[in-house]
Amino acid sequence: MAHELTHDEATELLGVYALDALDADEREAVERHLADCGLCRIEVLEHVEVAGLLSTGVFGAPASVWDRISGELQGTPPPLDLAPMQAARPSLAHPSGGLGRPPAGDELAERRAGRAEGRRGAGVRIAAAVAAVSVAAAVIGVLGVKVAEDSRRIDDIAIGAHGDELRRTIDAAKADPEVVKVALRSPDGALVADALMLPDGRGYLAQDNLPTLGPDRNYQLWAVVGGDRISVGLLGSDPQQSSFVATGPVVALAITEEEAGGVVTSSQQPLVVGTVRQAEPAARPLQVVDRLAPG
Amino acid sequence: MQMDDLREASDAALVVAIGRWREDALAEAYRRHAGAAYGLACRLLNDKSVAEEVLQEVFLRLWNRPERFDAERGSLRSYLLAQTHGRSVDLLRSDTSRRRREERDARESPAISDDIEREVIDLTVAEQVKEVVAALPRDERQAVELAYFGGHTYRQVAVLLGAPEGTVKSRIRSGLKRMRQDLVEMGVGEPWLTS
Repeated sequence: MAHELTHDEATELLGVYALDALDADEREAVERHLADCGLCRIEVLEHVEVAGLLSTGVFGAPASVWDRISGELQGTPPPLDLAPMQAARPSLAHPSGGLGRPPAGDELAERRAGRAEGRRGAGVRIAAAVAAVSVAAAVIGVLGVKVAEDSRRIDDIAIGAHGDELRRTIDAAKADPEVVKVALRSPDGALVADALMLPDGRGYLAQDNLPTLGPDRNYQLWAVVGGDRISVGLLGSDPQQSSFVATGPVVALAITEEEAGGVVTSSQQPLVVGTVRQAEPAARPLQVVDRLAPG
Repeated sequence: MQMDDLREASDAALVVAIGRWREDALAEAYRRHAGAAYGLACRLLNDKSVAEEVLQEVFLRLWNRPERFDAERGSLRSYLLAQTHGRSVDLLRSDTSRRRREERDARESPAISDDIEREVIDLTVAEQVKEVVAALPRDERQAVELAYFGGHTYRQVAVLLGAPEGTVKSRIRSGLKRMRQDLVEMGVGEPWLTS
């Protein structure tokens, strides 16, 4: 079906779409409509839930399959590298295109290769720092797992960060000749957050001017590691000096505003983004020390 | 989160843990949902070995791309089942020799679960769903079953039933809506069903 579906035409197809009972061309046409129609997306999700219940039964999955799955996981951690923004696609449970259609195996192979490459890196290193800003801005804005109720799994990096002790630690980090300054900025430069990173992966949010959020909102810090965007932790609704850990070849840091419990994958554009630049010779970081003195 | 915690964790929490490379979280997700997914794949494909391949693919997909699941947009089970259904249907349509619909009557049926707790829950829900399906008008039930469990397109269903394509589309949609309404009234299903 080459033409764009009207809303009425699309709604007639939602049931069969949810059951994978469309030919490929019609399915694509429905997905184009779904990309722009929230009402239809909701109806499809309802149909998918009902269809899922049709499969309810008392079946045991073979242990041998789990053994094979488990074997595949050895040395192959799941990439947290998220696909570039695909917001134009239908925002269903299956944004990869169509209900229940995994991507080609090559994609996974490529991701595995990328992950393997990333894991070989140690410490903080420069990697296309300028490009990383746009990468970070793009890749953080992906559809993903929102797990608002699961605050336990999103590390609150502010916890345990006792003021005086942390301040002393940050002061010591500032004096470290290998410290790397990360200046996170909003596109208009109005929002500022400055971080410090050490080669062993320890990092510190030294200061910021991010506005205080409501009680149900939270700032979340992300690290771009290679091609991956990894949640470093929550900064709270009113970020203070904080410590975090971000190992691997971190090329950028970013902060998003999220719901209180944080998210695994943000669909928000980062408020501030900063690239990680390689440590300068020993004399230079002192400039950072001065600028990042605790307020 | 320890393994004991995982047993009590929500599906959404499991996916977060999977995103943190927790193999035990994937194992728990497998324990909860692989049976249903496998049963669906077996029913569609009528081929135990191919169903196992689909199952493996679906769970590795969850491992590799946990962000594809959005806990705000539906349950993990429906997501995994949709993945399973889509992949199985793709296989069916790409290799008609696998269909062997005439052999569908449980030449190879999936094993029965030994997970008593989940079995009870599933049995309860299954009974309620069975009741709802049985209450559907016959033409709607046939259309839904042929499309979902038969893996047919609605055009094929129309041919099989000797009904106009538009009628089949309508029957499937109205059947799904009717089931949803009945299930909501019975209090069955995830919050997404009742939202």
